[in-house]
Amino acid sequence: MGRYIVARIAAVVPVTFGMVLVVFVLLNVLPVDPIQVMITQTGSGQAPSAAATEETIANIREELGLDRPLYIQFASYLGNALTGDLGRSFRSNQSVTEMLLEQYPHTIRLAFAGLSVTIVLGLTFGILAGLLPGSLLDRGLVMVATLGIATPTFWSGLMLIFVFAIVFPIFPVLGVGSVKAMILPALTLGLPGTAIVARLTRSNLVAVMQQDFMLTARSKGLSGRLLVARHAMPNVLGPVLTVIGLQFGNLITGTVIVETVFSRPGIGRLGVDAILQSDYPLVQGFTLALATSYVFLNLAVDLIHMWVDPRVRQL
Amino acid sequence: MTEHTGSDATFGPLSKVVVEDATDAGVAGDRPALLPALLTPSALGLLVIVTLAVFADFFAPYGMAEINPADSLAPPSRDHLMGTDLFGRDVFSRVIYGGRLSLIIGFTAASIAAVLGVLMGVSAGYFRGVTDGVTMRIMDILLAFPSTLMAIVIVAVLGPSTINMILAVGIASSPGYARLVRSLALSLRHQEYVVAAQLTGCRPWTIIFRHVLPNLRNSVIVYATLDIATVILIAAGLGFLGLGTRPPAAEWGLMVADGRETLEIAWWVTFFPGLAILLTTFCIYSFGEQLATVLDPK
Repeated sequence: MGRYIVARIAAVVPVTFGMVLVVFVLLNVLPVDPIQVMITQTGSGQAPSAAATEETIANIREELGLDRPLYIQFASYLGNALTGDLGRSFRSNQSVTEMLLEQYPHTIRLAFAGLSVTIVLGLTFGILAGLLPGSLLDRGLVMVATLGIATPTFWSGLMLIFVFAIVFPIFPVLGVGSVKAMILPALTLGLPGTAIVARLTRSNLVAVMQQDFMLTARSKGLSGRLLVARHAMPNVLGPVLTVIGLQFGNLITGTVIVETVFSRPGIGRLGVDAILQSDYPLVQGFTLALATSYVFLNLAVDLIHMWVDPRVRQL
Repeated sequence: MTEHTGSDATFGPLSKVVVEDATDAGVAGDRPALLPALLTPSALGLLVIVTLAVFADFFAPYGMAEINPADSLAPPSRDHLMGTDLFGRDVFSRVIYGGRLSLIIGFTAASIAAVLGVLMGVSAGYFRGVTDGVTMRIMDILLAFPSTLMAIVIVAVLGPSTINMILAVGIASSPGYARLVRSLALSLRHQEYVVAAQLTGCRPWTIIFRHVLPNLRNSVIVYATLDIATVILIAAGLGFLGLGTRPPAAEWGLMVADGRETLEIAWWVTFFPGLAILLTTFCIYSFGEQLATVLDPK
């Protein structure tokens, strides 16, 4: 088991390295000259000043190391990134790392709230439907689950705002901090995943309930709740965990959209603004922050999976 | 699954015989009648959506960018079925034109993803060895990015526009195809008819195009159908964030974003374009699942 954990953690290193490389290469084969962007965009985006002479440009280029070969630039970017230095924003000249760290807690909080919605609602509906196959609830679930996957997050968010904050002013339209202000964003973020988790839990549970060992457990006289909790669920949870892990991708990119819809602070907002303003160091940092979060969340899921399901440990 | 004509004409007669034998033995002719099984409500809904989009000029009562300030934010009525937006543009007409754009985006991006992903997946799965190792390591890294994030990065590089968004979403979605096709190709390369083709001296790519790809077709079609819906959702999301189609073009995601400012006083500007996305992706997903059960890909 220890070896598996080490191997699994070691696998993260090449993937993370690869991601840094991909992002770096993508953003450095730009059809745009970053210096031009800097000159036109620093100082609240006014027109390029006459002062931007050839000499100034050459100076900035040298200062940023942009005159060096790409592989050396990459090595220095990687070296700096390892020490937590992701460069400075073209726009605000602030440290990218600081800007990201400042926004990160907001995004994490939102992501976990969304994840809770996915897990709690997904498992609840999935178990109920799985225990009552063929019932109205069960048949409704399949339909609703497809709807949940097909609904664009940005639209369901706005519709939730319209119904529960404008027509029936139960929740605040915007605002950060209070638990109440978190409910609508968390629902918006978590619902697509809920649909997927509920569906999978249902089908797995239906399959497990027909197994021989369930019959044995029932014939021993176990009550319904214990039967499900002790004997059925451990067999259902493994695949469900994997799918929850796969949902992290949607969850993380979902935060970008939900932050925009609800005008919440966070990495997503920061990143989208950076893209619209061609602030490449920040875009680079934003992508890396989200991608590494994704990789590490998946690592966590795999480790939890191993803990829940002993069969995985033997791999 | 039984027809193999119409691809490339450069293949020898021998391979043709082998293929026909293989298909006769492999997939027997007891396929259920395709059409009746696919005539579901979602298929009909899809047909309506596609018809509206293709003949948008005919069905849309107003022009796509026809501005009428006097009619600003008019609620749904007989004149304007879905009301008007801030500029007095007819939301119904824009939803129809937006449908055309969304379907084009979805179809084109899914095609790009399919071609890229299938080529990578099939070469990795068929050749194995170094090709496989290198391709799959690249895929692992690409798959480590959620596809929406990947699309956002590519748009960041290329700049926001409809074409760039199609490219971005297409490239970002290709690893999914690669993974699917690779695993299928792995199981096909030891099939007797593939080995037979190898023994007759067929060139590798001839075998791939002639014997491997036709057997992957159904799986790829099903995957691509579902992917079109996913692509439409991602593209609409990018449009909403301002990273896709630029105004004043009618694109569903962009229209939802436009309506956001006036949500409090004019819900219809936001509601209908989003509903259009929902109905379209819902129909595609249901249709795709129906297709999956009918074509029964392994």
